[in-house]
Order: sequence, then structure tokens, then C-alpha cells
Amino acid sequence: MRLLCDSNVIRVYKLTDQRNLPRTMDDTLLMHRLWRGFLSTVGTRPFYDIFGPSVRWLALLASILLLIGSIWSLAIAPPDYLQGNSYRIIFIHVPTASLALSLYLMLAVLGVVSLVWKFKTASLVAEAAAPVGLVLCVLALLTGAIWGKPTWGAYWVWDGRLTSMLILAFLYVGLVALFQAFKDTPQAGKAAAILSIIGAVNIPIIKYSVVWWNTLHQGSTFTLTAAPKMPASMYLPLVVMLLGFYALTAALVLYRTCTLILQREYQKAWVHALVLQRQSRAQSDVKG
Amino acid sequence: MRVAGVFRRELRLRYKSSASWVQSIVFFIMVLVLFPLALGANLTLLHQVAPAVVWVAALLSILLGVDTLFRSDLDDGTLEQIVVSRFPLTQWAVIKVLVHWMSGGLLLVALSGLVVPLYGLSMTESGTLALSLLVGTPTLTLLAALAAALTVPLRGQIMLIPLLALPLQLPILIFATGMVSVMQRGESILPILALLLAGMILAGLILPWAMAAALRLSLQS
Repeated sequence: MRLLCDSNVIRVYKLTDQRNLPRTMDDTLLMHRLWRGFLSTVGTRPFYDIFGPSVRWLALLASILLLIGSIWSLAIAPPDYLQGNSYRIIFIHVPTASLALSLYLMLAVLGVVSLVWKFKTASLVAEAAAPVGLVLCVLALLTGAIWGKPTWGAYWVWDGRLTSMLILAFLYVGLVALFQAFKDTPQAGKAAAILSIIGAVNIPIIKYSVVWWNTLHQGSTFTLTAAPKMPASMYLPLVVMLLGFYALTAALVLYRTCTLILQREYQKAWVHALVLQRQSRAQSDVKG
Repeated sequence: MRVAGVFRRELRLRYKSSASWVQSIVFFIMVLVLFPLALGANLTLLHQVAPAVVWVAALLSILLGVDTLFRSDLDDGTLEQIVVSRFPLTQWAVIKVLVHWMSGGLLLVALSGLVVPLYGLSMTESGTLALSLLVGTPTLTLLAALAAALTVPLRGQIMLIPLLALPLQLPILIFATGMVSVMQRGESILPILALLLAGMILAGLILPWAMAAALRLSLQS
């Protein structure tokens, strides 16, 4: 630009730049300031800078919570009066099932965000979260089957809750397959966004399947308005395990997203600088 | 006027190459014939499994036939012309799916009458089965067409369409196969029929938009 412009033109540009342009109400309203502030964080580099360091302490928090929760739930919580000790698999089954549902809801919201506002970061987070959700959903189904054999007498029944969770597992498989098939192209995020939005119709079906159908699966124990139906000695370790699993999933998804950002943005200068910095630090560690 | 023109064009294209739509019909009949041969001449067993077999055969034949729904248009440039001409892409997707259904699901409704000789169902049971197919196959076709629209740029990935479409089609399958057994028990089929119709209306309202978005996406490669 400087080579092509006349020096007079540059002077005129500088004059208009310094002139006091009239300010509108939009620039001062709190919501607009908040929105602009949020928008400044959705680029891949701000996301990496903000959430990259948080992976470490989230993983630490997750290990502490899961350690405390595991010891509490396996050793300290009392045995069930009917099921004895076999109920303890609830402390893995409930967090994984709840997380599989929440992750899919997050994928659907990310799909809407990436289609409407076209944030690249949103589709990267979705690409990172889909395999995590798949593993959690499969774990929920497996632990449920292991639990079902001693309590119901069957590994699997085709009732509403289990069938709709199986459908959720297939939805996750479809999402992962779609991301794999459209490897590294920008269409991956958008195609998966469309599929995750359409598949979100399954979430209320799963949530209300224990209400709508006569099912072997138990109804909801925790509601927002009433006291929990479980005694405190059992639901407190469950809450700890739930928080631990949420922290673990957050750490995993953010870690995978940051890796994806580095992989996809490999041509950018800041990625180059970061890689060179890491290399020089590693070399100095080796030498020193 | 232009809608009628596009409709006539799609009809002529569909019936010009008989191989495309005849193959899924032949597949449906093949599956219907294979099951009695495999299960043996046990008429009570056949009577019980008939609705499920017909529905699985219909689902599979729809999934197989939808693979090339949009790909030929992407290949010869028609898709780009439709987008550029500002003809509503949602309407075009609906017309394509309607023409595909007329040579697919609608024929399956008629062919489901084969259960009367092959599986020993009575005329009323076969009529209920045909009604469930009539109400269910449009939704199945729309969902399979959405999966086809999402995977148009990908070639050679045949199993991706069933993988994407099946989780959404499973509830339709579950409800529709229940319709005939409800009728056999003597209860009213209206609740299930209402659910299937609601699914069809919901699919018809939302999926054309999703298909248009997916088709526009496939042009951006």
C-alpha cells in the first residue's frame, strides 16, 4: 500500500483517521461491549492462549476429584439394602451417561453456533468432542449392561431408555465418521453441524423415555425441586464422581481442541513461533 | 410454473434410466422372498415376523437407492445452475425427494401386498401394513436423502449413508412395526398413526432446509 500511494494521499488518510468520528449508543451499551469482548476470544489463537493453560489444572482437578470420589464410593459408601455391593457401578454409569447426553447437547449448540456465526473454533471443539462423547456413551451402555445382569437378570432389554441411548451411540458414530470422511476440509465442521442439529431431537426422547414408556430403567432420582431420593451417604460420592468426570471431559476436550488448532493452523506465524520456542526449550533442556 | 417444469424434468430423468429405481424394488422383493425360504415353511412364525421383515426390507431398499440422488446433479453441474438461478434449493430438494419416493416408497406400499401370499397375512393386516408404509416411507426417504446430501462430495463411501440415516430412522421403524401388532390385538391404530404422521410433517418441514444447507455446502469444495 505504501509503495502504491502518493505521499499526499497518505497525509489525507492520516488526517481523517485522527478526526473525532461521532460515537453511537451501540458502542457504549454493556451487552454490545460484552459481545465484542466475547467475539475477540473466538479466534483460534485467543482460544489457544486462554484455554491452553487451563488443561493442566482441569486435569489436576479431575484426578483429585476422581481419586476422592472413587475411594469414597467404593470403600466408604454403605452397601445397598437390596443390591448389596453391585450397585457401586452407578458411580461410573451415571456420570458417563449424563456426560454423553450433555456432550451431545453441546455438540448441537456448537453446530448452531458454527452454522450461524461461522466460528471455526466452534467446529474444532465439536470435532474434538465427538469421539469423547462416543467413548462415554459406549461406556455408559457397557456399565449399564454389567449392572443389569445381576439386578434385572438381563444384559440388555429393548426398552425406551436403552434403545434411545443406543441410538445416541449411533449418532455419535455417524458424527465421528463424518468428521473422518471430510478429513481436514472446512466442510467437515458444517456437515457435522447439520447432522448434530437434526440428531438433537433424540435428546428429549432419551430424557423423557423413563416417563413416557413402561421401562425397566429406573426413573429420575435427582430433580431441581425435590430432595433426592437417595440417602446422602450415596449421592454425595455420586456428585463428587460426576464433577470429576465433567472436569476430566473438559480437560480432554480442551486438550484435543488445542491440538487440533495447532494441526489445522500449521501455516500461521504464531504456530511457527510456538513450535520453534518449544523446540529451542527442549534443546536447551537436553543440553543443560 | 417453474416448479412444474422442474418436477417434469426430474420425473423424466428418473424414469429414463430404469436401472436406478428398479434395482431398489427388486432388492425389496428379493428380501421378502428370502426370509420365508430361510425361516422354513412355519406359517405362524412367518405371520408374526411379516411386518418387521417388510419394514426392514423397505428401509434397506430406500437406503440403497438414495446414494445417487444428488451426485449426478453435482457431477454434471445442475446443482450449481439451480443455486445460481435462485430457484429455491429447498423446493428443489423436496421435488427430488418426492419423485424419488414416487418410484420408491410408493411402489413399496403397493408391493407390500405380497405379504398376503408369501407370509399368510389377512387382507386387513396387509392393509394396515400398507398404511404404515404409506405414512412412514416419506420420512424414511427424507432422512436418507439428508444423509445423501451430506455425503454428496464423498465418493465410494457407501456405508456412510446408512450410518448417518439409521439413528434417525430407527424410531420410525420401531413405531411403524408396532402398528400392525396393535391392530392384531384389536386396539386402535390411531395413536401410532398420529405419531407417524407427526414425524412425517416434522421431517417435511425441517429436513428440506437441512438438505439445502448440505447441498450448498457440497458446492464449496
